[in-house]
Amino acid sequence: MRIRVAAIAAIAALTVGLAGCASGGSTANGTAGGGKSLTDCQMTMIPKNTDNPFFGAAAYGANLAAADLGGEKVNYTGTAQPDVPGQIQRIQSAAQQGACAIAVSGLDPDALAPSLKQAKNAGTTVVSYDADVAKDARALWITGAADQELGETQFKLLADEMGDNGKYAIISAQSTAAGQNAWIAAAAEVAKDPKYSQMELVKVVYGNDVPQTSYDAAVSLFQAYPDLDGILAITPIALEAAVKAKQDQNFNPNLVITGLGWPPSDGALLKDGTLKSFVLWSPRDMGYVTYYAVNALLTGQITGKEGDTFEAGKLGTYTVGPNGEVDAGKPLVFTKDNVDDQLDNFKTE
Amino acid sequence: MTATAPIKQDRAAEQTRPRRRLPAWFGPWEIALLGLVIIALVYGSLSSPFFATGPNFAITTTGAMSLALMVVPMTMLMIAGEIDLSVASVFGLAGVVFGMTLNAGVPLVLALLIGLVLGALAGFVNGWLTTRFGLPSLVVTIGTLGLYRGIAYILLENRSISSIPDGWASFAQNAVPGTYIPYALILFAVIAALAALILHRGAFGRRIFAVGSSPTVSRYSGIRVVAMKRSLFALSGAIAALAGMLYSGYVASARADNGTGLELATIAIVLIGGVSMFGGRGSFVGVILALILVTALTSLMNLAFVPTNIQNTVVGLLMIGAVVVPAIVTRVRLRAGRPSKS
Amino acid sequence: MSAETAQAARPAAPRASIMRRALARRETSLLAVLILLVIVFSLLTPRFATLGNAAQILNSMAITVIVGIGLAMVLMTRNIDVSVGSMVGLTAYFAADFSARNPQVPLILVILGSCLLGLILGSINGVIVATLRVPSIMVTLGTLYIYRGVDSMLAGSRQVTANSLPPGFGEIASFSLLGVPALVVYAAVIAIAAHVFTRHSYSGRSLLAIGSAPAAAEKLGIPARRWVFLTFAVSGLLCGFAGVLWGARYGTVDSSVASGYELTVLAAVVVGGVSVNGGNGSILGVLIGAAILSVISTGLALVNVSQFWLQAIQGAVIVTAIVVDALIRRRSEARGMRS
Repeated sequence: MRIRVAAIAAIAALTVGLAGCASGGSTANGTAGGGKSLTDCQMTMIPKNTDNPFFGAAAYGANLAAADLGGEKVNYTGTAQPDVPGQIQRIQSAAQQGACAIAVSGLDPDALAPSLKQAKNAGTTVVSYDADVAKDARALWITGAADQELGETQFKLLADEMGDNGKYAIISAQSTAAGQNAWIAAAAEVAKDPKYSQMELVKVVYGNDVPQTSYDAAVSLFQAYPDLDGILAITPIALEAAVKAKQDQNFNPNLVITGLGWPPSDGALLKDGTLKSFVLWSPRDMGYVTYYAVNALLTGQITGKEGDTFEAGKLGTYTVGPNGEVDAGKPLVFTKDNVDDQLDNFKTE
Repeated sequence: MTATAPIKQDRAAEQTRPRRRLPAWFGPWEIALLGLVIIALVYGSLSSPFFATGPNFAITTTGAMSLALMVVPMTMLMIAGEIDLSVASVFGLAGVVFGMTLNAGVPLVLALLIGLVLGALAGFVNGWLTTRFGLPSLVVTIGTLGLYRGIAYILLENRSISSIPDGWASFAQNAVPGTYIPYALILFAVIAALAALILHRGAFGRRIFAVGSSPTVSRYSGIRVVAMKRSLFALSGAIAALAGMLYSGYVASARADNGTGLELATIAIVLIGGVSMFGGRGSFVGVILALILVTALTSLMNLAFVPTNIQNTVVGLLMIGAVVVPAIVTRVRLRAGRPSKS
Repeated sequence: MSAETAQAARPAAPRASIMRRALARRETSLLAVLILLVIVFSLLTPRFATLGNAAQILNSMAITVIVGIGLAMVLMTRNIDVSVGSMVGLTAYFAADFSARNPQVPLILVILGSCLLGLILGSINGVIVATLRVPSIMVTLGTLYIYRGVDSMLAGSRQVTANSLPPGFGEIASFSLLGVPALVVYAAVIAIAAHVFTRHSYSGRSLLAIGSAPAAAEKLGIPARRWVFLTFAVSGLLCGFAGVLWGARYGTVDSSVASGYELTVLAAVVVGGVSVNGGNGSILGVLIGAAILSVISTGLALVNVSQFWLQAIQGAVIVTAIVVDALIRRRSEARGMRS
């Protein structure tokens, strides 16, 4: 009985496989670059994870660009939680169904490369936004602000508040987060300046962008370094965790906390004086520029080499930098005076 | 001919069948799975023109192969009454070591062998700890899950190795030229076929079932339980390592966090396939069907860009349905006075 | 011969006293492991043996103890509940989001509501496992996925941050009673209640009986199915309470809260000697197991060990702890057999 069932199953599987061989596959259409535009085909936007308001705001910005350009809205799809194989599957689904363009924020720059290259070979235009992937797998990388500037700005905010003096620690996201690692490196560069010789980095801890881990990391910092003067929390989750831990543990009230913040959640911390300032950029502008950049690639207006310029609707002209990098904007410093005006920019729908 | 005669015969037959903790539903379970597979395939073909295509078959199966490989030894382990939660960590560790040895200039075949040996060793440690100290494998492998993954992080930290040889990457990603049959699928088919034969045809397989249903009786029957379990764990480790190295080829890179969380998916598929957590029950056919079912469902949901939270909920419902439906059917049958079919 | 079969082979009446002795020994050996770890870490870094650090150790194990007690009771009946992480996550988001949107609702009602939701989630597990007699691993693995999926659908990309919650919410986890931190108070109360129940009440002791000898338990008239259902329901209830505490302690709540937490709790509980084959374990064991894990993670954070070594060391210590525990148990059982 079991053998018969096994046989049936095997035949069924084989039939599907052979049927697959027999029928022609529908692959991505079109030539790479030239003659198309987002007015007649759809861009697929794949974030690191969809349960994340930051990427929702970027998608919102892309759709604003769609409205301005008169093009199709983006197909915003991804995994709810960060998952590399899931991202790969999304890329493959999009490419199989003939998406003319894919914009992806890469969880793992190398792991996504094979599937992105396969998409490229099938005629899909590939760009990365926010988090870059392997350079030969994408035509452009649109970033919210240059990594070097982001790292510098965050560090300088911390240094200013600390009076250029004292011990500080950094709470980061995952140890593999490329953006954060770039900022840590940039901050280390700036810290070499003799002006900051009185500042000492005691530790870098990884909160994995999870509130519990970030909170515990902050508490352990307080335990290990009772004379800590400052914390640079380079992800909003870590920022919130550091603030809460400081309050809960009644740690040194003069402890300086700053870093990356998310205005809709953390604006209140500025207004009530808990924090003096934090940094971000505009994910909406990043999404907006991504849309226009993709369109420019599709129409053949640019090819992605350094020096290419294109128009991005209301935001003006953009120039492609080295290695295909496009900086959509600059780091934004939020304080209690300007955060309210900016809140509208972080809408996700 | 009244209806009572066949019932009496069946009842007698039931009493002589070895008592198990759960009713033995071999045939019906696989048939139900097959039915679900067919429904899924048909629904998929209807809902998307891209589903029943060669490229989709190639892409979907290639992507599923690392998980598929790990399901094979897990099936045998679970039938023997054990479990290995550390498979995903061995997966990641082997990928890291593989990448590092390749980076150091070691030839591909040697690097693969080193990875396999490493995996077998890691698995053997699991087996040794379990049998030597009489510890539940669930407990031991929770510990080694962290230990092995941790070693991967110690070795590679947060770096990534992207110099996987093209040959291996191509093997892991591509199909045989001219067809849509991925190389990786052929590898899996060979391993799965061997495992199925061992499990369902050979004496070794019968012993695995025996050990799973009653370890004490098996020991008294002269089955070398300890040696068998250790070899099953070693096999689990070796194949997990192979899966991890294959995945490194698939993504053309190696990283310490590769495969995190895969152990849950592996166990879920084995369980949906009808293998009992308490051992002694299960069939390879069921597990393969479960693999096909989950892969097909995932594919059709991905093509429709269904949010992953809904996808996961569907898998969860499938798991619950897989136990609830047969249980309800059994009860209805019992209440109607007919014994459950074998 | 394995430990379990040796135990099963002995007759029922003398078995109770031998088992009690073995249990006592088991906790003693675990306690020894814990004390050893504390000594090692105190030597490694002066900042370990401080009051502040002790508070941190207790605080970071409190939620694990609360959820672990529920899980331990399920394990005692020879079942398992791997959906605890998803239940904590779902109730945490529900409680935080509801409270943020309705700050005027008294917090006690929010807490009760979260517990009620947890109770319902756990009862779903319990109903399916108890009435249909199906493997709990499959049911709870299924609900792990389902509850997490529902959590994600409910939350989407929304995050509830500490400052959008009413001021009292955070205080649920941060006040102190006579110097004892709130979380520790909750965990202690629940632990004492659970200990009294499992050790000193007939119903509680029957949990272990159900797990170690189900057939005998049925013959003794123990309503196994009812108790199995109740353990799952209680597990859910405790997760509901833990969900509120989670948001109160850690602040930011989104759909990823407590992802993978079931492994942490399971590790704490099994290190604490609760057997996954049922019939063995104690609340004290849960406490010690959670303490061991908390001591390791807190201690390692203080010692200047590279973060990349943390997971490996934790895994190694877990393995060592259970091996040591098994060795001690073996030796004490051999002694017990001779007496």
